[in-house]
Amino acid sequence: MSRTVSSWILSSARNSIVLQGKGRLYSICVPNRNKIKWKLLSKTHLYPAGSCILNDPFPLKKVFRHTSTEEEHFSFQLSPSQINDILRAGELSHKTLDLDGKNANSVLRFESNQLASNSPIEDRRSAATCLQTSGMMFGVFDGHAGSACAQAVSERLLHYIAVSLMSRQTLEEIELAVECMKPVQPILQWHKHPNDIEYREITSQYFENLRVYWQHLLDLDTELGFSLEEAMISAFKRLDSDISLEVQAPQENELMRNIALQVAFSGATACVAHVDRIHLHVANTGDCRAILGVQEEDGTWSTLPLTRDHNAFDEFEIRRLKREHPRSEEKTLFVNDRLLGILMPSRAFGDVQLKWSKELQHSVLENSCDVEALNIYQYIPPNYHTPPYLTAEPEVTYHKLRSKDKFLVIASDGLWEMLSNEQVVKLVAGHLTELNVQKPQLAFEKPVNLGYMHSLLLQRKNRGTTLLDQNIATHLIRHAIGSNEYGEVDPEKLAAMLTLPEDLARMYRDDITVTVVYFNSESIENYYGNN
Amino acid sequence: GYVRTGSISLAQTQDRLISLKRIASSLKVMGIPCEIITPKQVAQLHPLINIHDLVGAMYVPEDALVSSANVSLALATAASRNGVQIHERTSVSHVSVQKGHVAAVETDRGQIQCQYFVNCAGQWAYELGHSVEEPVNIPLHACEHFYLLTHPLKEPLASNLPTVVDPDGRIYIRNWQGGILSGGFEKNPKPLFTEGRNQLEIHNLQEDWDHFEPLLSALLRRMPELEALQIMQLVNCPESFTPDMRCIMGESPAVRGYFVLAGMNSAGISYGGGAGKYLAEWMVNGYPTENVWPLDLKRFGSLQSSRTFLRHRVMEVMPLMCDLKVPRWDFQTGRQLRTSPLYDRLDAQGARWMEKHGFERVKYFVPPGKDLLDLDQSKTFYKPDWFDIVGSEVKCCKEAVCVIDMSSFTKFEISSTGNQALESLQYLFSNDLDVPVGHVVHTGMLNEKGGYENDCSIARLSKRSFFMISPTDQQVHCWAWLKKHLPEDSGLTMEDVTWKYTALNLIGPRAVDVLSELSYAPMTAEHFPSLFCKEMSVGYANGIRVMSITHTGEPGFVLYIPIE
Repeated sequence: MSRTVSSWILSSARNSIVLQGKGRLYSICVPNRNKIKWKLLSKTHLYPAGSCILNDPFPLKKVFRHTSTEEEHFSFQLSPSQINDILRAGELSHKTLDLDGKNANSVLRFESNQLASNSPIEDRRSAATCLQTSGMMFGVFDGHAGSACAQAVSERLLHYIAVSLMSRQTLEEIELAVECMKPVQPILQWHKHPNDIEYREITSQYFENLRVYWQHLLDLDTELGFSLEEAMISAFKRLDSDISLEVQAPQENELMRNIALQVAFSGATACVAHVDRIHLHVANTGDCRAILGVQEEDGTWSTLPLTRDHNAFDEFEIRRLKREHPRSEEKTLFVNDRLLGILMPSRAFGDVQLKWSKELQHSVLENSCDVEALNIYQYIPPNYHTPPYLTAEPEVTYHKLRSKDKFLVIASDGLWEMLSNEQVVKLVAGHLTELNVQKPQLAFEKPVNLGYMHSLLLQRKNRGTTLLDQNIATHLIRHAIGSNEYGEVDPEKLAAMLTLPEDLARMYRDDITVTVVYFNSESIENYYGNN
Repeated sequence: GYVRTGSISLAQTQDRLISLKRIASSLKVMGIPCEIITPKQVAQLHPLINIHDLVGAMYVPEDALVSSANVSLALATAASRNGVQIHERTSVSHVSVQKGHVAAVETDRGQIQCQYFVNCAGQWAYELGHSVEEPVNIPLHACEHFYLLTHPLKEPLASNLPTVVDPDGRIYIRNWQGGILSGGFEKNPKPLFTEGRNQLEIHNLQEDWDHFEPLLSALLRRMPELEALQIMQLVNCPESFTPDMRCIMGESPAVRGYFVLAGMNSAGISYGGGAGKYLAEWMVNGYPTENVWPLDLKRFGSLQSSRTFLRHRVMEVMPLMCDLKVPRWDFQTGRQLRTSPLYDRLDAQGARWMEKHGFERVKYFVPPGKDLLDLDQSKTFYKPDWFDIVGSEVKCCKEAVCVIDMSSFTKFEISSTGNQALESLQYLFSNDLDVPVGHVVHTGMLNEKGGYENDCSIARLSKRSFFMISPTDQQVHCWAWLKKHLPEDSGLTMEDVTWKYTALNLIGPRAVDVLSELSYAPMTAEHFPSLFCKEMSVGYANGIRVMSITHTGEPGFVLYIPIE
C-alpha cells in the first residue's frame, strides 16, 4: 500500500480517502489536486508523511475493501456506445415554447447534463419557469459531505426566490387559498430529469416553512416588494436559516428529524440564474461558476464571467472574512487554502459545524440518536472562536442581455477544474456552428485525383463521428474528462476516466453538472426595439 | 459501338465463388461460354487488378460493351426507316380508355388514336400508369445511382480490357475513353422521388461524394494504381427498381391494350433487346414465345404499389444486386401486406414467415427451445438450419395429422341465373365440370395453344354456382383471364371471396379421426369420399364448407370458415 500512496489521511465516516502527495498514477490522468472539499484534520495529520496510520486498524480494513489500486483490476473495455450511454444518462433539455410569437422568451432552450464521481452524486440542478411572475430560473448545486443539503436546496431555493419576487397581491391570494384549503396556484413549473429525485416525505414540511416565509414577507408591510437582487439575497439567507432552524426544532417524526440533521450537517454551494426578458441576475454562493458566451460582431467569441468563486483564492473573500473576524484569527482563517483548514468554498448552505456555536452543536447532536449511522461529521474544528465563519449570503450579479450574448453556462466546479472559461465558450461556440452548418458541402478544386479524394472523404467520415453529442452539456463533459493535451477527445482516456473504481474516481474528477442556456438573440433585439 | 471485351466477376470469399459457379453453370445451359478462373488468370486478363484477396473469378469472354445512347439512336433510326414516327419533346398527359380498352393518348401536342399503348417510361412508368382513368399499377421506385468518370490514364486503358465486377466490393469497373467508369450498388441506397413528379428535377441531382466513399474505397482497393488518376465527374443517375428485382412486362389486368415494359433494375441495356422481343410477340400474337410469368405485371397486386412499400422495398432490393444470391431468400421489408386472421396466433407459436403475392404464409414453426441463426448467418448454399424442422413437419403430415393455414389461396365464386356459368366454365376449363352438386374437380385453365394458364380446383356448390380455388399468386392473373374470356352481360356474376374465408387444411392419414371427433356427421369414405364438398358443423362452428381435397395428394380436408 505504501508503495502506491505515500501517506494516508483517514478522513471521514464515509470511508473516503484523501491521497496526499503524488501517487503512482496513470500518466493519462490529471495529477491529484486535493479535490475533496471536506478534509478533516485529526491527530494523524501530525504524523510524518510516508507512514501509515496503524493505531486504528479498523478503518484501514475498510480502506482495503473499498480501494482497488492495482492496475490489473481496471477494465478499460468500454465500447463507444457504452461510453455514450454513461455520458448521456443525465441529459436533460428543454425548448421554450413560443406561444404568442410576439413576446418570445429570451431563453431559446437549455440543455443540461451531469456525471457522477461520488456515489451517489452530490451535485444537483434545477430549472423552472416562474408562473406567478415572469422569467426562468436555472440552478446548479454542488453538495459536499453528502448530497442531503444540495438535494434540499435544489428542491427549495427556487421556490424561495419565486416567493420573494411575487407581488403582495399574489401572496395574499395564495395565503388565502392555503388557509381555506383551496387548491393553490402553482408557483413554479419544473423542468426535471426523470432521474431527479425528491424527498417526498417532507415536501409538506418544506411547504409549511415556505408559507411561514411568505407570511413574514406579508408582515413586512412594504408595498414595493423586493428588487430582484434583494429577493435573491433574501431567499438564499432565509432558506439557510430555515435549514438551520428546522434541525433545532423539536421533531416527532424520526425520519424527518434525520433528514433535517443530514441537511444541516452537510453543505452545498449554489449558483442560480434568473432570466426575465433582457434582465439576467446570477446569485452565487460558493464555487460554482456562471459565464456568458459573447459573439462579437466580427464573429469572434469572448467570455464574460458573471460570478466569482468564493474560496481561499479570492482576494475579496479573504478580506471579507478578515473583516468579520478578530485580527487574532487572521492566520487561522484559511489553512491549506481551506476555510479553517476544512472547507474549500468560503460560502455555502448548511455546514452548521462552521456556523453554530460549539454549545449549540453539542446540544443538537446529543439529542439525536445515531449520528454515526447518518454519516454526519461530528467534530469541532480547531481555532473555532467566533462563529459563524460561513454564510449562505450570495453575491448577485446583474447583466443586461444584449443580442450578442448567445449563451450562459452554469456548472459546478467539477467542470471548471478541467476546462477554463475560454475553453468552455470555444467548445459551445464550436458546437453551435457545427449544428448550424451540418456537414458543409465538400469543397475542392478540380482537377483532383482519386487518392486525394479518397483521403479527403475518409477524413470527413472520421470527423463526422466525433460530433456525437446533440446535448451541449454532454459535449462539455466529454471534453472535460476526455481531452488530451491537444484539446481533442482521446477515446482511451475517456474510457479510462469512466471506468475508474468509485474510490479512485474522486481523485481524478469531481461530480460535474453543466447547464447551458441559449438566448434568443432576435427576441432580445425586439425588447430593445420596443422600449 | 459494340466492343466485345468480356467480363470478369471476382470472388473474395468461397461463398461468392460458389455463387459464381452456380451462375456459370446456368449460363452454360443457355450456351453462353464462360469459365471459372484462378486469381493468376485474372491478373493476366487485366493488368490493374489487385488479386491478393481473391479466391477466384468467373470469366465470360463474349460479354460486350455498348453505349446506351448509341443503341437508342440506332434503334430509333432503324424504326424510322420502317415507318415509325417518333415525337420528341412531347409529353403524355393522359391515356384514354373506352370499354376497358386503350383508345387514345393525349399529349401536349394533341391526341393520338391508338389500339395499343406501351408504357416504357422507366422510372416514370409508375406515374404514367396513374394517368389513366383506371390506374395501372406499375410497382417500381427510383434510387439514386452514382458512377464515376475519370480522365484517361497516363497510358490510356485499352478499349478491349474486360469489364470487372467486384460484387464483394459492390462495384463494377469498365474502361471509358482511356480512363475508367466505375459505379456500384451501395448498402445504404438513397431512394428518391417517392412523392412523384420528378421529370424536371432529374437534371439537378447533386453528386454526393460522402455517399460514394465506400465504393471509392472498394475501387482503390481493387485497383490501387488508380490513386493518381484525375477525376472527371461523379454522375448521379437514378435507376428504377422493382419489389422483386425482376423487370415488369406484359398487359395490364385493368386496361386491355395497355402494355408495360419497365423496372429494369439498372440492367436495361442488357435485357432491353430480349424484353423488347418478347413484348412485341406478346402484342402481336397475344403471348410471347417463352414463359415470362416471372416477369408478368400481373404477379403484383395493388397492395404492392404503395409508395411507402416501394420505397422501403427498393432500399432492400438495390443492395441485393451485389449480395450473395442464396436459394430461398425472403425479403425483409414491406411485409405483412396481407395476413391470415390467424396470423398473430401462429406467430406466437414460433412461426417463420414468407410472403407470396403480399400474403404472409408460414414457412415452418421453430420448436420451443430451439434457436435459429441470425438472418445474415443463415445465408448458405449448404444445408440450412431449418431443414430438419421442415423434415419433421412433413413427417407429421405423412404419418399423423397436421393443420396448415391455407387462407392465402385465391378463391372466386362464379354463379349465374341460368346455365351460363356452367357453359362458360366448361369452355374455359379442361376437365368436365358438369358433375353432381357437391363434387370437387381438379382442373386447369388452358390457353389457345393448350398451355396452362392456371391450375385450380372447382367445387360445384349448386347447379348454378361454382367455388374456385387457385394458387395465391393467381389472384390478379386469373381474374384478368376470366374477365377477358367470360361473356359480358350474360347474367354471370363473379366475386373474389379470398378475404371472406379462412382456409384450414387438415392433412394426414388421421385427419378423418380428427374431423369425426369434432362433428357428428359420419366421416367414413362411403359418406365422405375424396373430392367432395359439404357444408357442415365442426365443433361449435356451423356452416363450414368442408372439402375432401388436399393440394399435395395426402389424405385430408380443407375447411373453409367464413371470417366472422
